[in-house]
Amino acid sequence: MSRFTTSLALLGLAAIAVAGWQARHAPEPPAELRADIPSDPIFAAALPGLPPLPARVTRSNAPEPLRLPPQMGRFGLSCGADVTARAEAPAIIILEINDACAPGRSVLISHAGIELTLETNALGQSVVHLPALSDPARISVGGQVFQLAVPDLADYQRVAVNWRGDAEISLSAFERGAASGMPGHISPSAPGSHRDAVLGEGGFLSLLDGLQVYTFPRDPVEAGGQVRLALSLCGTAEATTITIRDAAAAEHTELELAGPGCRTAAPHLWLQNLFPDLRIAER
Amino acid sequence: MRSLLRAVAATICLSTGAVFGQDVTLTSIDGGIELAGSLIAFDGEFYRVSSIYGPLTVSAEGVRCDGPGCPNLEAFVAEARFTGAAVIADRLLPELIETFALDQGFDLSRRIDAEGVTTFTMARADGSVAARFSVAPGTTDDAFLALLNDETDVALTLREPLSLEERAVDAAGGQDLSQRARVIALDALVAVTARSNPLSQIAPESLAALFAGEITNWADLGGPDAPIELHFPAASSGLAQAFESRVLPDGGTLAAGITRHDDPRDLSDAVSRDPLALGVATLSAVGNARALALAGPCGFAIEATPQTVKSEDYPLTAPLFVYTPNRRLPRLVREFLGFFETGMAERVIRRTGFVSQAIIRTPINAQGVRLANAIQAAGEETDLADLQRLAALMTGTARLSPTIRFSDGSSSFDTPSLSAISRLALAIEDGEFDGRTLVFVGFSDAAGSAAANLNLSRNRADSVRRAVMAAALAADLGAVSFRTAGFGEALPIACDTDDWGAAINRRVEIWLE
Repeated sequence: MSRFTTSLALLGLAAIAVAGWQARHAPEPPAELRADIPSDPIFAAALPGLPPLPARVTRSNAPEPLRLPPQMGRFGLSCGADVTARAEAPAIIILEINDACAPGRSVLISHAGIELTLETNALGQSVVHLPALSDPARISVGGQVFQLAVPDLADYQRVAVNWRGDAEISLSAFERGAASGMPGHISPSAPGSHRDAVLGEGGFLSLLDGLQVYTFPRDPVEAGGQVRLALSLCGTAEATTITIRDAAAAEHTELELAGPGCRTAAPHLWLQNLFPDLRIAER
Repeated sequence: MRSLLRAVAATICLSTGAVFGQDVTLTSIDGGIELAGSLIAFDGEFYRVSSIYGPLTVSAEGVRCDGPGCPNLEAFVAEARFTGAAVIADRLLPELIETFALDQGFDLSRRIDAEGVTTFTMARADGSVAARFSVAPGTTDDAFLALLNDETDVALTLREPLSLEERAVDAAGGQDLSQRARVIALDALVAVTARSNPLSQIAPESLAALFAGEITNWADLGGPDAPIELHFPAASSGLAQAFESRVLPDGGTLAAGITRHDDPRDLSDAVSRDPLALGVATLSAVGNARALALAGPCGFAIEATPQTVKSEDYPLTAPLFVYTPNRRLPRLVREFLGFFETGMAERVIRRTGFVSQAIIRTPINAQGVRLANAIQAAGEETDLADLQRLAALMTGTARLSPTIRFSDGSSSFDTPSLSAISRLALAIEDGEFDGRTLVFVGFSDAAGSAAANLNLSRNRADSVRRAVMAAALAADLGAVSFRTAGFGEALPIACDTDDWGAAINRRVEIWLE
């Protein structure tokens, strides 16, 4: 754990000006700092040339962080990344990031083969509701790794599409043969709710930047039937699809998508077979 | 020159004419023979060259290649285009390719383009590309057209070719199309309704009358006075054509006002939303709808299940076919086609909702309905002694899924029967039944006298036994015992009073003791 604290501070100093997915290909920091920097950077500043950041990480039992002069952010709050993670129904991980000295910064989150980037707000805060894709869930928040139990993941079937690129993607679920645009058609314009899933009444769609996750209860009020999934696509992307039908195994597929241009008149590509149908248990 | 020509493996006729590539000169290793022309293709093992003698295929092993068109033998990538029925292209093939790549130790990547064509690239551990398969979803019609125009390497279809297509492809390719077919999995045509609809079974004749427009009201099927909303696969779909040729009366045309669907799952979903709807979908695509059993007038009903589809007890089976062109495909592509018959592929077939052709065993305790049917059908010509003999033989045995059927009054085998015989022979050769007894049990329909039917069923059972033993050439026939039995009309599984049922009842089952 001491590595996190140390490297967080060093990275702050390095102020790598790369955001999001590109963080993995960040330019190398100066040679004298390189030795202690893990391959997965913690914070990648959105803007170059920001002042150096000391950092503090909760859950760190590091002996002593680097001794740097105390810094204060805007509004007089102390600097340093404070990350908390907790799980709640329906198998959702809530991540909260606070760093008063890092407003507008990109933070790379990775979990079970997906990656996404959060941006902190003007106060250096960010909150995300991330559907868990494994139990126990291991999540890396800017290189800091959390492990949480998400026992209720077993109560849901879940599919996800995670992408980077200029593509516009929307995931649709048609519950029990629902017609397009009618109740039971879950899509970004009608995403359903966590409450529906917890009560066993239907599924919901989680919409994040470059990530969409559909969740359906494994033992819903109404038994029988299937949920069909489809993806509408324009533009190009590198994508990963993930399907969790039984809690034990997630199926991952890597895809390169080259759909019609988003600014052309061509209709979006409609892919109906990227995900298997989700079967709803019969009583 | 002559000897080189004799060394040519096969001549190729391209229906679209040769695609002229770059010049090559092939010289036999001893330097004695030379063939010049432009290279059409290279499959890693064979050159296809357009020469003054026409297109020729020459083994790369025996010749040296010179000229600007010569391929790099080491960098060869096995390429194949798969075209046809979206049901196969989208649902089954990707999973088969994935499993094949995993089995071969290849790293698989896939790319979907704006037309919905997926390109699967298989790379070796060192990063070099071994194969590139492109999969274009479309219809069965597209598949046969692409085959005719030599625009595909593997055509994916949901029906056998129409005679017109067969004649055109045979004329272009110079070889019988049926020789280049293989069944990769099974499915079945099923009538579907909404789950809330109380109808549970339908007679094939009623189904025909519905889609021919002769029945239009639920009252004719014992329901309320309301019109029946019909749903049917798209005209270009192999399923539509299979249904029309097998269910509709001769030359029958479909009624007007039927809603058509490209994807059978869309059809099932549309039907599931409308309690007054009835459609024709497939077993693999019943989804949110409910499949109806096929019923005969005497009360027997046969449901489509993996067991009844494999044994063809359910009459409307719908195999998934692949057809290959009359030319050599790269070795890796041929290996992929061979992979379809492995146990690994069978798992994929089951997982994706289709029925594999693997032999399954149904134990006696799962055959209660059959025995009940036999008791119900017993009467003037089948007495208690017959039933007791039947029950005694059934005890402790399991029925194997391959079932041989016969046309009326004959003892000769049709194509599916030959395939069942060869699968059974293969299983015997593999020692699957070593130390066991295979009983060939013949049954007949009820037409004619019971005594004649008993004789006919015994003769059929014996002819199947002989055919299986003859086909199992490599088997240790001493390890398996063979017996035959005949029961005439004693164990009907469908109503004998119509042609559909009679055809199902004329059969030889294989039981394992």
